[in-house]
Amino acid sequence: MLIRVDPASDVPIFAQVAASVRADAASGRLRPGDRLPSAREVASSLEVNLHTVLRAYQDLRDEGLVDMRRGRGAVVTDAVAPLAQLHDDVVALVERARALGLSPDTLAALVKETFR
Amino acid sequence: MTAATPDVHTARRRYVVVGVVLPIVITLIAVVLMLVWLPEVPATVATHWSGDGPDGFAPAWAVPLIAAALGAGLTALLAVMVLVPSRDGAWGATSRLLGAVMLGTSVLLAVTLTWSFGMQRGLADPHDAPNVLVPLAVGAGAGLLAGVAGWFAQPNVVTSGASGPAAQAVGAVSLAPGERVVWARTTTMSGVAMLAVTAGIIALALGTIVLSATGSDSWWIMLGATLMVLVLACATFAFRVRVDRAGLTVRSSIGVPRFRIPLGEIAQAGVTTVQPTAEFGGWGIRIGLDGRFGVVLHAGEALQVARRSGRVFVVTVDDAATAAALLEALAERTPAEYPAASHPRVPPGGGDHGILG
Repeated sequence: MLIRVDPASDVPIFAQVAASVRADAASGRLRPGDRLPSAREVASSLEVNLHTVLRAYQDLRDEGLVDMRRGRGAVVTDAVAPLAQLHDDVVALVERARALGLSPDTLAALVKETFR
Repeated sequence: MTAATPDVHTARRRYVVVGVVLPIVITLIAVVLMLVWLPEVPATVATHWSGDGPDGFAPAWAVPLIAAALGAGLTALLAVMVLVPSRDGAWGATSRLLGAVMLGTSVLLAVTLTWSFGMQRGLADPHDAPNVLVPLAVGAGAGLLAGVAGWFAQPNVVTSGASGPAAQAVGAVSLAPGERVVWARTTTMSGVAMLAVTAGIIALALGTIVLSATGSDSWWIMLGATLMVLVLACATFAFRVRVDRAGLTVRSSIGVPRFRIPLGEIAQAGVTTVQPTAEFGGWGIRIGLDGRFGVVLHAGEALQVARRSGRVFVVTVDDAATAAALLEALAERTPAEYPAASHPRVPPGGGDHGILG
């Protein structure tokens, strides 16, 4: 699992951690049943607060992507399968948006609007 | 992966002859001889000798049984270790060595057991059994000769994957200045290896029980060996692999052992394909015949890191390409800890980097 955070970014750190895990699931790097590294391990590797990582994991749990179990840590659920299926479509869409000169925010807003 | 070449087919067939068929035939001859002699030996025979004569005894029928179980068990174990993983066409000197060792061991066991059994024919009391030194010496000599013959009876086939530390270089991940990253993954031992280790532990445990049942006072040595192997097995079944600002960390699931390579010591990180039995002679914490050191738990993708000291570390783990690319990126960002190193960092592109850019 690859987690990247950029402290210079406007996006909050916890959201960057959660986004990294989502991207890992979408790219097939994380599969159902895989165990996320402990929040303590991630926090010390990234030099961020433990609660920041825990907040990201809790968000992922609220989305149903991971299951938090005492003693077993955060385990990836079957809910990541649709993410992996959409991966190629998302990559294609983003490439097309980039070619057309759309900003990430515009594309995200468009997607959200269509979703309603 | 490439399909098995004719060379590997020949090597595998020759292994079957040297490391499976011959040991089984030799074991069979020994067992049949002992069964034929069974009515002539005392009901209880000497099975262990000390300096001044026999001091360990067992029922006569147990000796051919032990010979059969040892011969067949060892042959099956090594055959599974060598032949199952080499189906995809990887072969190396270690596979050849295991075949030769198997033949030598079966000869040693057959000669020593059969001779020490046969020399007790016609005795009324096993305490009168002659000394075992001669059978042991002849068995060891014959075993050694058989082993050497077995080595040369097999062709010298080394497939490219098993030839040495050739890692495929990967491009570095692009990192924003100040961006923080961590890559982590668990790697576990393959099913075949777990089976082999479990079988070994069961064999040791049975040996302990048999030894203590025969009243031998060396059973506690066997118990110690069993427990030691058990602890070692637990320590090597699963490892956590992590890449972050501290470099590469590979840690056993029980905490020890752990290996760490700081970013400043990394000359190059790449991806390779590992064949455990052909290249490392098995699974676990291993040193390959080519000098590579590493944590080898299953066949396939592996992260390979060349240190500035010239030493090479390998760990079998999925998604190794991402780990290698990340190590490359992090190492590029880190100034070398040893400026006068004999192996300076090699950029993946091989380009020139002037001091002033």
